[in-house]
Amino acid sequence: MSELPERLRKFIWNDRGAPVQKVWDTSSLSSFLACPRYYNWSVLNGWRHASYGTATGFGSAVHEGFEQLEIGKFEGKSKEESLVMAVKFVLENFGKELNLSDDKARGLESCLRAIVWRAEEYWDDNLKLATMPDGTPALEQRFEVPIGDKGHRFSGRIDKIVTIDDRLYIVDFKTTKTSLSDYYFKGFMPNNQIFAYIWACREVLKLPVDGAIIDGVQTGVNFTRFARQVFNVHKDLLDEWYEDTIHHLEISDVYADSGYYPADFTACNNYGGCKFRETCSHSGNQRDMFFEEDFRQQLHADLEETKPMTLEVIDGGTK
Amino acid sequence: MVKEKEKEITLEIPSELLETDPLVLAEDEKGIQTIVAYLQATRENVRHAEASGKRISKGSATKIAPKKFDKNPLDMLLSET
Repeated sequence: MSELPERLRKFIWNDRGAPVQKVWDTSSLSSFLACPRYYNWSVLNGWRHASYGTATGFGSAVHEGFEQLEIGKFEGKSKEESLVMAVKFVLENFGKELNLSDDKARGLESCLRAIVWRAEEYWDDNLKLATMPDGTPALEQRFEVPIGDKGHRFSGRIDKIVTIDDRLYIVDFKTTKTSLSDYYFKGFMPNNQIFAYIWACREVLKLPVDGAIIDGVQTGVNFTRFARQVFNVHKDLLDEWYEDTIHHLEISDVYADSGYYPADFTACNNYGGCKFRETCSHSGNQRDMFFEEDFRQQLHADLEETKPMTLEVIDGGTK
Repeated sequence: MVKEKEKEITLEIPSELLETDPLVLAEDEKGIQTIVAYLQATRENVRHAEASGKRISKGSATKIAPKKFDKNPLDMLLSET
């Protein structure tokens, strides 16, 4: 099917010409668990709402700006020098894109404010950045590891690993417009991402992490707020998450083999309502009409590069 | 007269710099430092406004917070008498 170099692709086409996921992450796992039909349309077949605005990459810009601050500090630069480095980096890599944002709470000035205010808030931090065995700072650590014995893999990106009193914690930055309240942080326990990353660190990368820290950043039009919460996770909980995940991935294989992904209507109203709610409310040809008029298809690069020739003649892509 | 008074208490917004092409601004270290200093000052102003229970707006971010004294103002007055 493909003559491209042998590497582990995140998605492949199966013998029936349908996309299948080989390397999972917490986002796709959560989509699958919420509603298999949503997962099939959104993750596997890449259907995006046609009115979906240009992504401004606000979260990435803030994360990368924070990372530049950390690098500056790690290299012994002053706060002011690190700030200039971080702002310059964001201007060069995200400036034009952020200036296109209609949302002032997620534009260039908000992003720069978040970086500057963070330096003021956390320059003298009690979370100390850990160092990797090769001497580099423990920032942006990517992993892709086998999970179970059925050929599945799991990938992720750990923003930062820190020490507190000689104990290791993984840190995940979260940018949000919502208040960093107890209610917000309760959403991270239990949580697939936290459990998956701690599992990967402890069981596969053999890093003895005690838990995870959610490092929250709330951005508004004229302010930025910061709050953190530490989550310690017992081994029993991780073992349970692992067993559950293996079970879910095996079910995903059954769906992939049959080409049938059932809907789960309990998730239709989550997060302001599923984008496919209207589509699911209609049947047959009417459903096709919704796809043609309201959605556009953007397959993952792995699928686009290896697309079987026969798929290109199907009107409006695959579903 | 009123304008002068307003100038004294309001932070100057580096609007021109903020509207500059990001790639051009990225090469202007002095401009970046001006923006950093402006944003650092807005943090102080917003913190002051929040502590006073005021609504956070562009106005409260740019209205310069009153200077904090190192000592309790009452102690200072008493020591001078």
